[in-house]
Amino acid sequence: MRRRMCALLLCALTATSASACDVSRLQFKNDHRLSFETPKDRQKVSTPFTISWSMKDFDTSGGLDGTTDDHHGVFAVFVDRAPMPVGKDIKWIGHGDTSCQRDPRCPDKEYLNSKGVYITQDSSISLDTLPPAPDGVGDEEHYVNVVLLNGKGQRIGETGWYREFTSKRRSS
Amino acid sequence: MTELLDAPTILDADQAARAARRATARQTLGVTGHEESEPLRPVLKRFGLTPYTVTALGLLSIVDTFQGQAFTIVTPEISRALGLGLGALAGARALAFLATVLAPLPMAALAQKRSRMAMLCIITGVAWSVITLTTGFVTSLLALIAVLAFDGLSTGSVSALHVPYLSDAYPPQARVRILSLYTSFTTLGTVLSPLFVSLLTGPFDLTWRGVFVIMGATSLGASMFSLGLRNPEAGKFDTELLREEEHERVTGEHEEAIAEEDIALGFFEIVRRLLLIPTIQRIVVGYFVFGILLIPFATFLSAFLQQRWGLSASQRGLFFSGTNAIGILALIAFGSRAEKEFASDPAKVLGQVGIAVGAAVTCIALGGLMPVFVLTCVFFAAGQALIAILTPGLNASVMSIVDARFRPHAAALAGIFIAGGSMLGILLLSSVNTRYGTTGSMVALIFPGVGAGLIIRSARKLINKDLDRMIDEILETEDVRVIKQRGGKLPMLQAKGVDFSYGQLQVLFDVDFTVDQGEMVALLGTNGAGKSTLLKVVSGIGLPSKGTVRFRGEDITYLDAERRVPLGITQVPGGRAVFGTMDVVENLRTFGYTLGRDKKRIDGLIDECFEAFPRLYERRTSLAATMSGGEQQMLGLSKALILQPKLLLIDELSLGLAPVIVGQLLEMVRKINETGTAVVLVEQSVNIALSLVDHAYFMEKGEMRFDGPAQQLLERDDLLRAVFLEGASKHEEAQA
Repeated sequence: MRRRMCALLLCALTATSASACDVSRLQFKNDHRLSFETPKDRQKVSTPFTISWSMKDFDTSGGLDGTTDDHHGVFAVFVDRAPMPVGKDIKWIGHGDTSCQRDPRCPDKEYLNSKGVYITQDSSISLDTLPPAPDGVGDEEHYVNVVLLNGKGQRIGETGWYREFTSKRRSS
Repeated sequence: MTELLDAPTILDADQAARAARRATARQTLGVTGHEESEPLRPVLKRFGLTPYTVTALGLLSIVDTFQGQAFTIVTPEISRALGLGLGALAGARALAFLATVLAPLPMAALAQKRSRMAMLCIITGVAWSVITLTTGFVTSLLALIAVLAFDGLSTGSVSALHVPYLSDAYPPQARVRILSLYTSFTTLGTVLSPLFVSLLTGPFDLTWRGVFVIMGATSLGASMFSLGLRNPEAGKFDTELLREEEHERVTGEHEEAIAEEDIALGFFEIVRRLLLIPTIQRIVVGYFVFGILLIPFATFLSAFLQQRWGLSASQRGLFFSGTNAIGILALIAFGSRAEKEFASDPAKVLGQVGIAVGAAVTCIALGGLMPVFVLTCVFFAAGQALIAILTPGLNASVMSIVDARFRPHAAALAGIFIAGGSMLGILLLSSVNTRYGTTGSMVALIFPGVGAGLIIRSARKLINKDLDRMIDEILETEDVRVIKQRGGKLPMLQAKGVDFSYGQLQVLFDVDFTVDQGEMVALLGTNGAGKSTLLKVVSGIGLPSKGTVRFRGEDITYLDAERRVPLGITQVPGGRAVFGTMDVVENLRTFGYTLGRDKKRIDGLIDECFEAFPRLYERRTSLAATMSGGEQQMLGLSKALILQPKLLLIDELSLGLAPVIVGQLLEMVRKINETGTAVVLVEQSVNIALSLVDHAYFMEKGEMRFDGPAQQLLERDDLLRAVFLEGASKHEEAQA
């Protein structure tokens, strides 16, 4: 009886997990459509500097036009932070920030930039400053994530591209 | 009865016989005293064994590394795909680590029944394979925490299963080599896993999801290879074999070991018992200190290689694979050499492992300071090779000095202490890293490393004593079994060779103490002689550091005090036998707690107490604390009337009481004894004690100085003078 209960519980758990997981949206092979041009991997930069990339098979001319096509939209660049989870839109950046949630215009460009997030139709951004790095010695370690957003500002798939770079340590 | 002081020849003969039996037993346990060992293949052939078990468990240990290694390498990709910060991922891994820490002890409890060992090994192997595969499908932090926690639980359980399994499945003559071989498999896992991940992410162009799915499927396939595992017979090649040999020696008949009849120790009793073994105490402390450097080393090494030498993730993977491969070579060389040394003297292996750990961290620290990358590689490889021998060396030592039944617990303890040290190390070395940078952290690892090495090395002075202790316990247990089987007479209580310490202060020294069925004995001695401590050891309030306590032939040395009461052992502590804030009836009901919910029976027994001590009836509603000393002792003695024990231990019954009261109490003790209850009367008053008993013991400075008829003790002025002089001096002090 106890074994049957355990087996039943296990089946229920497996079924629940399986139903909660839409396998078709998961990405098992790498996506090489985007490649970084600058900075080079682990290159030492000094502000101001440019992060640039080239992209294949993705049209950004329409910008945030409200469409949900996976091949049209904009780039979202996240400096020293993880991108939003799959399917979430730009508003997610302000989640947990009550002042932003109260403001219907938030998150605007200024707010996003203050959080290290840049939305762009171009294939490059220029940075005048870098987020503060944790305490330590040696050069500061930084990284950038680029993901794709559709016309509604929602993240497309799991694809994301990553680049590490360093900068001279600033005195605190 | 034997008067101890006057019988040195008997003692010498007994010790010589014991030494001879130990020497034979050591041979059975593979400690021959000679630095030689038979090649592995003939040993396996002689015992009809194959390398299947070590290969199956080795493969499981390889695939066990998949999840952790893959996760470490593809963490940035997971972070990007799931939109999780590195802090969240670190938190999830900390939870997984916590699960790894917590898993070994419950797994040891499950493995306590040997019939489950093989099944548990297979189930955990399949479990972590499925978990690795499932990791490829997680879409949220919650799911990730769940898979990591489950992986931690299944991975953590390995430490409590595989090493004890191998120690039971292969004979002691091959143990160090088998454990070295098994550790080589584990190390091979750390070599292959990064390469496998590189292969999957490189040429096969898979994302982190693809990596986990393929690794999980591979792991599942490897787990299937373990389906042929069968439950090992606990101690078949050592402790049980030793029991059989002793049985054959005593009876002249060869037969299988008699079924387990001792009172089985519970899980925590086993853990507590193991922690009382000096070698294990030393080794677990060594493991703890070693743990301080373990996780920080792995963490800082990556950062160091990246920052100091600019190595990319794949280059670091190659570096780890290369240095770990050197570790495998070291293990192969260590296995056969250490086997010979272990056969010659187990202390040699511990000594070498201690030196190896200290040398390893020194190499690593030097490697961190090298100006040329090649030299860094050389020093790190040397360090890795030296560290690799730590695990088989210590495992072989620990597994050899504990009874086969306790091996899962011993292995689990080692894992837990390492994990505990790791947690402390993360905290300590994070602050070192902030202040002195990654290179400074690498150099700082030398302190816990050298400390661990010294602690482990110091255990070499203890291991031979603990090996002999284990042998003595097994031989004695078997002798008792044979006597019981033949219907021979066993004492009701037998404490043998008992040592006891309060912290560093030893108060009992090799004490022997015996009480026969229905006997009343007096345990006498000066103040501080160790009488009350001996009673504590018998009743289970104190645990001895050496020696055994047997009750009706059963080993109860490490049984909890509350489990001894239902067996029939009751103690009436001197002057503090009652609960002061409870009234008389409440006290009596409390004494009857172990009798269960039989209220009618307890009420009847309380009435009997009131009949025996009418004064208690008169004061039945009074709080015990408000009663006189004599009344309190009456109430305390009523515990014996309620519980009706087989053995009653009474500590200082007459202390501070009027002679009339003492007379009443002693009369009750006599009546209790007449019902068949054996009584041990601890007294400072020689006259009172010897008026009641025929058999007396006399203790002085923690040693048993006399064991014989009470009348003979009365003639021993040399012993009794101390008591009388002490009494006289107290009297003089009181008068002054």
